[in-house]
Amino acid sequence: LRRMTGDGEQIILSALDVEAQKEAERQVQAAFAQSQENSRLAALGTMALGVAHEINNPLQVMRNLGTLLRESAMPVNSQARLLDKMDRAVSRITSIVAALRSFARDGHADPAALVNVKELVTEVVDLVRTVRPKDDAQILIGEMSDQLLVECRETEIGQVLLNLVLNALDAIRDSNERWIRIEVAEVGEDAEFSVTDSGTGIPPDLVDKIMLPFFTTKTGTGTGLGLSISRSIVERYGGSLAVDLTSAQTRFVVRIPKRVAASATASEQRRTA
Amino acid sequence: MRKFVLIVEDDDDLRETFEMILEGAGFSILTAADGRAALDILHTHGDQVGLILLDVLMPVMNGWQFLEERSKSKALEEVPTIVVSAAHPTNPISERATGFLSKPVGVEELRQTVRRHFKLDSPVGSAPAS
Repeated sequence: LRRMTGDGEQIILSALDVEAQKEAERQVQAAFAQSQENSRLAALGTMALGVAHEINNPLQVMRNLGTLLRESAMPVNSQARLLDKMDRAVSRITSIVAALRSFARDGHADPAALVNVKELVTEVVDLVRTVRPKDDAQILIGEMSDQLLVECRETEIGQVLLNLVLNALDAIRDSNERWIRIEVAEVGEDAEFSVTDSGTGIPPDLVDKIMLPFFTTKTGTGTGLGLSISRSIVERYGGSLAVDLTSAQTRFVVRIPKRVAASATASEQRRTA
Repeated sequence: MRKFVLIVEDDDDLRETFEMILEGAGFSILTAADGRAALDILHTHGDQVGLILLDVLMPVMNGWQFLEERSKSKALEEVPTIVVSAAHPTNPISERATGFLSKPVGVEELRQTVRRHFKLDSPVGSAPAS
């Protein structure tokens, strides 16, 4: 600040050291990345159990059919039938492993890319059906455009949707009516994903708590990180994750900008300024 | 005559494979894709079933629920049941089963288990030719 007084010219200099603040922000970001990774690994561990079980059956089929082929003098057409069954068993294992690989891949350093929303939702539902095949809840996908593209890291938004659908499956496990509906809509410049289940909603006293880290209602099985991490992810895109309190059923709504570059850059600048 | 083996397994390929193995060994087979369907079969053909091979993790009604539900009928509860599962059962209801087979089950192991059962338990010589 420079000003003239009766005694002459005054110059006031002011300096603020922001290094400590920047370092703290770097640590917060690193902690966030680590907790996101922990959440992913915890979900992966749970899935691995399901996958191990699901692979066991086709392996048993292949082993048994191999024995039958080796020991029998069956007609060629019967042999062909057994070989077809073995092919199917191999395909099942292949698709289970492929689904797991796509989720297990650490994509947080991937650049954001235009992702086809319909394909993403379909992949998530396929993955859920692969890792939770015994779960007979109906998973319904609402009408959605083939053309809707969202700029994001596929693994991140895929993880958010996966968390919401797996939470919904757990929530309605003991319900008589068991369905989950996934819908996507364009709302202005945003894409809105919603996951509704046949449950009767989140109790009012829990609404504020469920997004908090380490809060879980799943005794012994939940990490309490799924929703808090999911919300952190969508907020980094300049979006939101909320419970729809007006819905009669339990409904979670994710809203993210279709093009995140501008808002993400602004957010990044705010964090590092 | 209790001549049938009832295979309760939700995995279509595995159920058909078990059926193929046991039919090939001379047994008569009934199949169900879940516990509820198995109960329906027992209600209509219960007096003809000599052995149940029971998967645990199934939709609609799982193996433990099946055992629980079945225990409400004295006649149905008497049908010997072998639990076929990847993990050794820890559920107390498993005590109501006759035996346990660990998946993956080998072809010969499956045949021998069923043969042994029919020789020991079948009162009227209904053990099929193998």
